[in-house]
Amino acid sequence: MRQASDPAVLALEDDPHRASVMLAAGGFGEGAARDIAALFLAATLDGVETAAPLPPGPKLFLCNHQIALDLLYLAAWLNGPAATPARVAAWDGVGSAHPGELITRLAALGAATGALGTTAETGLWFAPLLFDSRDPAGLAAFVDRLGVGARRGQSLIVTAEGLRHRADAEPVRQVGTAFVEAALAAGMAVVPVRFAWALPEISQGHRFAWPWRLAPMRILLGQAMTPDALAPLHLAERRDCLAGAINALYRPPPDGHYRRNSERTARVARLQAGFGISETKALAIDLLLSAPLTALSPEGTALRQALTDHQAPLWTGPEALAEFALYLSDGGATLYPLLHQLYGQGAHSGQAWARA
Amino acid sequence: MSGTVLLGPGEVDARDRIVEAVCPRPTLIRDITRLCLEHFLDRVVATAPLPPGPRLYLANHQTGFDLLFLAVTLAGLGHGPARLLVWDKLRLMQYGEMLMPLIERPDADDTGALCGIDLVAFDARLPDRTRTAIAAIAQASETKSIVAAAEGFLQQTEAQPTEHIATALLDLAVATDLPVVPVRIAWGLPEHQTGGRFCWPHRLSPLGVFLGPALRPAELATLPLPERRRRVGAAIDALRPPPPPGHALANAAMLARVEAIVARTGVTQTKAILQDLLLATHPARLTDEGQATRELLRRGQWAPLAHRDDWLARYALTLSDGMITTDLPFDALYPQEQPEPEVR
Repeated sequence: MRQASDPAVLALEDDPHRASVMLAAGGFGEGAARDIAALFLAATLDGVETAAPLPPGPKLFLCNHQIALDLLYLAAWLNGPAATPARVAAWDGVGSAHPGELITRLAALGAATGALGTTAETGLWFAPLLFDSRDPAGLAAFVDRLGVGARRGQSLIVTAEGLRHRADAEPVRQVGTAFVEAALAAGMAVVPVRFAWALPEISQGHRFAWPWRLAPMRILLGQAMTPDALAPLHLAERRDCLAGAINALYRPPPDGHYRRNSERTARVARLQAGFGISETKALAIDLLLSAPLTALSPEGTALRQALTDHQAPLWTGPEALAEFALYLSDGGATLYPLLHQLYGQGAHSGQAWARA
Repeated sequence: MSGTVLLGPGEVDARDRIVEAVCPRPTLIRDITRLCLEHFLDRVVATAPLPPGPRLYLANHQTGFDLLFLAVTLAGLGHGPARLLVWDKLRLMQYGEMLMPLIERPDADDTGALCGIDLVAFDARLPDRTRTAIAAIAQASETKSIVAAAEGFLQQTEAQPTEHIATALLDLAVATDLPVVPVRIAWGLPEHQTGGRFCWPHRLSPLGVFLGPALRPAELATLPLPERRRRVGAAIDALRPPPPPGHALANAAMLARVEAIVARTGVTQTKAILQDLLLATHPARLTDEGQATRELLRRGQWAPLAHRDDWLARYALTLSDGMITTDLPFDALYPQEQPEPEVR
């Protein structure tokens, strides 16, 4: 594995790599939407490691699945710093979950208030390619279109199993064959991907939308497997080979990893309990209010002010930004007293700084 | 507090009749409305006879759904149709996100998803639009009562006085000659400030709703504006009986389950409550749509929804937050299915 000093590694917490974060979040335009995407990436993605350079051409990224948006995080890195056009394939219920709803609203905000980053080949990379899991025929047609995407040079990111894991070291046991077979037919290499460090070492009995204790996730990319290497294998062997390649990438997190965001975790839990809002909204509010002002665009600063001051100029400003602020604050207004407690005196004047 | 009990605690049959009058079609909104009235509305009491004809109900505002509960109860008890004044950004809030699609369901018939209740939205950021909305509802006031939050915002403590009454609403009462019925929503908030507002009652304790003696518009018209505000606010705040014994623990088991759902899934409190209402109810008490939605929540099964209209499938998926509920420890949260309800 390459280490953090290697330019191929995205180590998001290091200041020199901030440009990479902004590049990864760049698909959301220039304003508040990008600010929020960058804050999420910086806080909850530890970094990306590659075992070997990615081969040219379209690829199938075959992943385990830890948290709601892990595949999208990989897409951010691929489309941003790695300059590899790629889209996520997801079932069409993804937007019904609270993290998916945030992405939908960020996309709408980015579209309304600034030019969204697109490429001719991929369109909006953060908009997942959706399939209807209730409709087998629709899924088959979706998989058929994979070849079309490959001819456009577009890679695809999919989960090997579909369901999220519950524990960090949980192995991939099953590999869905539909995407793999379609990828091989289209001549695409398969890149095994391991998402790691976002789940507890021991299962808590349920799955997670965001990293457990908000511990930042690491993405580990293995060596690409060519169609020539995979095609001769029997189906069962191919499954075992791919699952083994994903599982072999795992390594445990460093000591103290799950305590890295403990103060933020406490604040987010308090916000959730105080307002009954979703974990996603609580995390977004915390990221905005605890970010240094230098990390925010003027639009992001206005959004932050709107969260803490109901007289903020935003309410007579752009409709899209005001709507996003209302969505984030769950209607606004009475959020202030608790925010004042959590983020200090400055919260009321829009000069909030987290005590942490 | 003495008066006529329009709806008493534990009157399940009366709630059923109200809901069947307001939700004549056996759809999901009937299930949700009935379960909400059963769990979150303790009683509705009129401390004086209600005047004949349309009225303007001006209430304090404690929780997200309280005025809707009031409008549903009044319409269901035969007090005539009502227009409920709501903020046009309601759908951006967690309870509006789940409420508005139910009410605005595209396949609702001419009577609407909630029969006899219209929602009139206004934009609070722009006073002109508020006045326009109020002028529009004034035109309908000859035939329909109006239900509105006197202050427009959610209060934060049980004893918070109702002081900031919207001028536009008082003007409306005078201009349209509507008697003003002061309404106190009670028992839904904590005694002391917690720093937040409440979409649902504090500790999920059921609300008491108390209707005071009507104020005549001619009498209000003679008062200067500050006095007019004070008079209406005082009439609302005079209705504040203490809750019955044990009230705070009325929904303690539900609260524990809802907190467990939120902790495990990160969903909003509103989704967790609506999920719990359906999951904790025996399927025989639900409509076909309620049963199908419950199956999705309980077992992740699409089958009962597969041939339904897309609206219901989408709503159920949103309620389950992308079917995240299938990961809940059902055996621990709902250790045994409730017995079949008795046939009445």
